[in-house]
Amino acid sequence: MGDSIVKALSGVSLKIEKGDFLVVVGPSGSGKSTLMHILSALDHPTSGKVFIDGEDTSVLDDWHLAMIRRNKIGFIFQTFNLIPTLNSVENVTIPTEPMNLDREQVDERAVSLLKIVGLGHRLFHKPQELSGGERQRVSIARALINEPEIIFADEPTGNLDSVTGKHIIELMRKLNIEEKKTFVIVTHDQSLLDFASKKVFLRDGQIIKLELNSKKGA
Amino acid sequence: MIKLSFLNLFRKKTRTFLALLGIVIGVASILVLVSIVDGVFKEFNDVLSQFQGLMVMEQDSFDQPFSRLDVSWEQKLESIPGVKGAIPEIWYVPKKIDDKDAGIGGGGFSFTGVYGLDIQKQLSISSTGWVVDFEQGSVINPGESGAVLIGKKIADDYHKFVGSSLEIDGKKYRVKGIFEAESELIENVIVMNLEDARDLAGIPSDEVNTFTVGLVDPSRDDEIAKLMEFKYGDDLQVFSMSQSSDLLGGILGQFRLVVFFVAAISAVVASVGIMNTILMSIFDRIKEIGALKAVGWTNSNIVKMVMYESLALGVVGGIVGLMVGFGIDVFLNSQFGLPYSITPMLLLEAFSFAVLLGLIAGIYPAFRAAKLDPVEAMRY
Repeated sequence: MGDSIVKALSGVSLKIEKGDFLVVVGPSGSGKSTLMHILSALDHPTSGKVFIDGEDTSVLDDWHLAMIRRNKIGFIFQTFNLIPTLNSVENVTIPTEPMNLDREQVDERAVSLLKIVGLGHRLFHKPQELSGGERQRVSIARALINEPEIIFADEPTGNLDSVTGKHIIELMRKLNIEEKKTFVIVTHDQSLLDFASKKVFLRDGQIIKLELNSKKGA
Repeated sequence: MIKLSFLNLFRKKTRTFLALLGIVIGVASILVLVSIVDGVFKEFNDVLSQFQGLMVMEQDSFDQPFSRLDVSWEQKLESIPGVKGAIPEIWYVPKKIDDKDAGIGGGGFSFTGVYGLDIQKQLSISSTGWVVDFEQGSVINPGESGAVLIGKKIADDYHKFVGSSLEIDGKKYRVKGIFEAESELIENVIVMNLEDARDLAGIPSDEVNTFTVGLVDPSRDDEIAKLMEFKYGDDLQVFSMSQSSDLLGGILGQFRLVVFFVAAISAVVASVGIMNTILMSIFDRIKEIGALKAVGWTNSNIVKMVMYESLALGVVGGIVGLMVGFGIDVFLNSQFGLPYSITPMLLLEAFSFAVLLGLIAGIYPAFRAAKLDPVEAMRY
């Protein structure tokens, strides 16, 4: 018991390219969350390597990982993880808060991002005054505030009804095509595969299938 | 980030309020206790500054009423160059005034004392004695028996007027004059002729308690005091008023420190309250903190955020505590006549203490929060 090692992932090799809209699907326990955490510099792999922009993140300490997340990565969570005391604009700017930036410019950028995600009329609402779909739009805008190279979304539609979920995924795809943003979406929701430019099927910690989607590719 | 920290405090208002209450009580008690000690010191100092000359007491006696000196000292002291005259004095703490218990514990913070002196001598040395204003009546004449001068506080406490009779330990006296002084300590004194006081205190006719020595040049008090101690140091202790003030300052300075520490204990307890509040607030926000770390906040960013919260509690608690403490001072002063002295230095001390506690209380929760693993925290 004490000695046994649980391998969430094993032998996974994956290359994500600029402009990808990559959807990782798999049943729960397939290791998709672990994959996302490792890819997104949230966690270290116990063995193996992860390169982001040519930099090996598997050897970096917490501070450097935080810097990579701050400068190169955007996050969208299943439960939105917005700060309840802050309004939409403030929530969008929260990742930049520790950075020494011109606050006015950041606020302007947050407003324009909120407009892009369709929340121009909800700038100063608190999360509890917003619907689930609107909250996820705020968190999408938050993921874009630092102009990331890549955006990771962990079950972004998991807490939304199917219609709202579809709108959210369409918004992400639109950002992918129009703003040339790279997305990695981890989900158990097979319907999201329709939007993918690349599909990864995960089971028991291994990639069982990798598929390119030519008809909707960016 | 400061705004975020501040908003966090408003999430659980009751909890924040309770933590604040703790620090408010701590700071207020520091302010009240220390300001009263300072106030008492100031009052004593005011009293002392009304005396001129030297006070002479028996060696090793701890207070005026315990000192016993032979009357022959009067001549010996007066033979010292620079001495204008030595006034024999009796100090007595009465047990009963009229039917009421007087003395220590009877009259609030200051107790009623009887002061008997050779009035003739006092008049001959005009530079000596108390500077008091007569509100009513007149001074006792030398040798006038059965007459007393009373301070305004006694007159108020016992409803006395000029011509009223006053009973001290069963002996009757007539109020001849009522005086006002800057200090309530002095207004709580009954002045009478030396012989009357001797009877009252039961001191034999060849002894007195102390002498007040008037000087030709009052500014030479330290010098002449040293001379007296050199000559008669085996038998006498001599206090110049400037010395007494220093001595009192030293004792009260230590007392002030003790009081500060006692009050500080309550404030330290308060800081445990702050720590608990912040810890609870962090447990409530584990997921949020995980998300902040995920979007690129470093450990030190998280530490800062939590420390701001804790510091805000310290600052707000400190300010409110000072206001509450000041209110209590004013109240105690108006109700019980307790003196208080609030200096900018004391305000700064009490306030910095609160801020310091806020900072210290924040350290542990801040590092707990910073140590959270973002993945684990978001799963919470």
